Amino acid sequence: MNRKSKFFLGSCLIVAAVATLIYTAVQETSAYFLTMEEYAAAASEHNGKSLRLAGRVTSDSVDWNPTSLDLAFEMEPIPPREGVHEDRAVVNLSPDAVRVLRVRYNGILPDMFAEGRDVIVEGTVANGVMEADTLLTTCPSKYEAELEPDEVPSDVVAPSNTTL
Amino acid sequence: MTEIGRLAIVLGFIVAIWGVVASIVGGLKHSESWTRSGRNAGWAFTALTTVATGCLLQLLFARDFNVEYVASYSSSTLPLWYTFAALWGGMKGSLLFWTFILCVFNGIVLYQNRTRNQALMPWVTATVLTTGAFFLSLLVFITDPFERLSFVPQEGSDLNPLLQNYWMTIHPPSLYLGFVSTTIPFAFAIGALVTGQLGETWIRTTRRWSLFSWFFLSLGNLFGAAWAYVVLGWGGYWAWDPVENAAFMPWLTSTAFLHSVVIQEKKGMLKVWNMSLVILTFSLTIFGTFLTRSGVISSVHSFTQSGLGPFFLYFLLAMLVISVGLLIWRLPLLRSRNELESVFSREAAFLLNNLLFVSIAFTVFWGTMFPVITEWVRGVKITVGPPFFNRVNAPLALALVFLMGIGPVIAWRRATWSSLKRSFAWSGGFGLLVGALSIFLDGGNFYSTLAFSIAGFALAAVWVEFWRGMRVRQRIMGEKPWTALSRLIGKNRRRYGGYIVHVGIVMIFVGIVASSIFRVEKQEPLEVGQELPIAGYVLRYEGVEDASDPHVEILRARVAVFSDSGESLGMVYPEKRFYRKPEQPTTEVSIRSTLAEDLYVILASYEPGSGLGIFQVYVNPLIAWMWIGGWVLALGTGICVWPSWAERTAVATERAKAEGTPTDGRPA
Repeated sequence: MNRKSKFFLGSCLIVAAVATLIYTAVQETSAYFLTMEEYAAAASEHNGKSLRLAGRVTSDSVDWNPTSLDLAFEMEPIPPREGVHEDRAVVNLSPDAVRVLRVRYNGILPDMFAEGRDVIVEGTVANGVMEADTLLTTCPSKYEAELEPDEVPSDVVAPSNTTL
Repeated sequence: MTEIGRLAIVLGFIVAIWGVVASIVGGLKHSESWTRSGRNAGWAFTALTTVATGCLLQLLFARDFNVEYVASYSSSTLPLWYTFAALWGGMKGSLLFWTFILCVFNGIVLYQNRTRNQALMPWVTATVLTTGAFFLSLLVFITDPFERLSFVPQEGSDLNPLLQNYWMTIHPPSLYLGFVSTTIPFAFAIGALVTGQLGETWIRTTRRWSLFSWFFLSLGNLFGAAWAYVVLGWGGYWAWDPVENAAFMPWLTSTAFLHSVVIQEKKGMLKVWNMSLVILTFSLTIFGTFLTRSGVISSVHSFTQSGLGPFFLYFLLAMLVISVGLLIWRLPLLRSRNELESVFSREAAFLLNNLLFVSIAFTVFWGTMFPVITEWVRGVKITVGPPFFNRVNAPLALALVFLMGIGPVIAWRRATWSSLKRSFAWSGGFGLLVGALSIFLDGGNFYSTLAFSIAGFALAAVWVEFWRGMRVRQRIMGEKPWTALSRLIGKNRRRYGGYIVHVGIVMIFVGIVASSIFRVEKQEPLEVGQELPIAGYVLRYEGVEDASDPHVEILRARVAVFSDSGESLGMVYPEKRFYRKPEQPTTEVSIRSTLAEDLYVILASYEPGSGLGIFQVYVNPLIAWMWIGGWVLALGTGICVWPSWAERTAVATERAKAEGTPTDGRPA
């Protein structure tokens, strides 16, 4: 075997090793990323699977025990924003579909967590309750500025910070 | 002021377009007058963008809340320094700031090359101005930073509190410097491809810019990690978030380039590969900007919702098509002068290093884009989290650090068995020693033992290099040890500066390994006077105090720290803050940092009635070495880039070298 093919073979081996690493890691660490509508449309299918769910914290649903750091709340679909074009798939929910999901979490309350905020939770659903091991709030750099809400046209007041 | 600013960006856009046209015509027709016109347009672009940036700053400092940007990102109580930082706190300002940095670099390039690189320069100017025109077009047509509101708000809605932190004032600018400066090597690459002057010139000019950009990318990433560590309060510093990944990928390809360019200089190999890395690095910075501004990755999560995404994508595609097209067209001119001779050679080590860096970059790309890819292919979004990145990258990083111990020492071309033995006896032995020590100290965790012995091996390799070089100078020149050492570094700044960078990287590596494997974590509610023991510390909660100021309400917990044996180690003061505008709570971490470990204390919550405080405490071993490693890295890079005025002598010596002396610069 000449040198060139030796090097070629070696490179192929490395590439194959990396590909295998990526493949197995994906198998073991991936989670379905769903919006609450998508979840609600097929809730029973997702029982026991690793999920990453995006939704909105339902008003008056938050139960927070500051001593044990136990948090429970309900999550609902994020309503489409007015005037913002979104490429989200339209999901038609049957009228009796479960639209809210109960979420349990233990840990420090993220600074941005509040009722009516959009959150992402990661965990598994069992018996209709999501046991979340991660709770993310919308990136802290994005929030609605409160100038003078009555007078500002809505398209002006959607500043989005970026850290990059 | 808004009118002047607006006028400046519109004119800036027009002259940039003109500069592109004139430079291309000048380059094609070899016409001095067209080229000069393009150059002058470049200067005008630089001047106008500077004026526009000055205008926005002036508006921020004047606190003119009638301007939408000022009202959205500052307030009358915002401290002066953060008012300055508000320039890049929002999207519009950050785009302008980006263009501003580009225009400064453009000015530097035009000045440095007023007599040099005359054939390349029209194409360099055209490329830089194309990028500049693209960014300005976003500001002119889509998102105007000088937009006025129809009314004057009493008060601005202020900069996001999480951004009001000293790291945040230096993290984005250093990343921007790193990102934007990748444009210059790219521009020279385009120039070299178009003109067919693919020799040493463009590499020499590009080298220092690449180092410069690498330096700021490194610091930017580290500052970002420091910011996350100090501000976000979850005990970690890196979460493999798309925004972080976006900044990490160009760093990886840029690191690969800095290594493989050595092979091109010394051996005339890997020319196509190097060209590709330059193109890739630039593309990844644009891609990163796209990622962070389009919301494509977390479309529900939506970091930022703006319609800018597609434009970045079109620009990126156009640049890729042009540059890859040029590269393919020039393939015949990029043939290697030499071939790889042996697997046991420095060339092979460099090649492997490059493969690994690009693999990591690909892994990060794949993991970041995975939801998008699976949605295309399978119609469902599937995400991978930090465990994915850690699992794949940990072995690759180990391999890279291992190579770090081999690359600098192994012989060029072909290493013999006896030379291998000689080269690696010391460093291999030292690595094993460190491994044994680590088993003794931490009880034999497999991964840490492996990682620490590899780190020891890499460190010893650098040590051996310095030691040998110094001894040779002492013997041959009869110099004293310190003189020998400083002259050794001074005479081969890039090489020994690079080794110092290696030392910094090993420190960062050790900090990452130790803090991820041996972290201790505890969460507990404490009544006033109650104690919490953790990993050799005892914390005593002594109550809270009110430390508010007009800008922010602050609830500060007083926590006394003792060692196991009862010795007092001082106080930590974790805080809960409540910003009044916009109303937002933030958690302020308190850290007691030593070289051995950080004690990281968070006040998770507080009950006003009972005075009960709930604390989250981490002990992060060796994490300080990450930041120290960062400074060592900065020092090493500084040594590499230092002799800018010595360029002329360097050119002279290169000519001398070309006459046949070994190019390695090795004293032996």
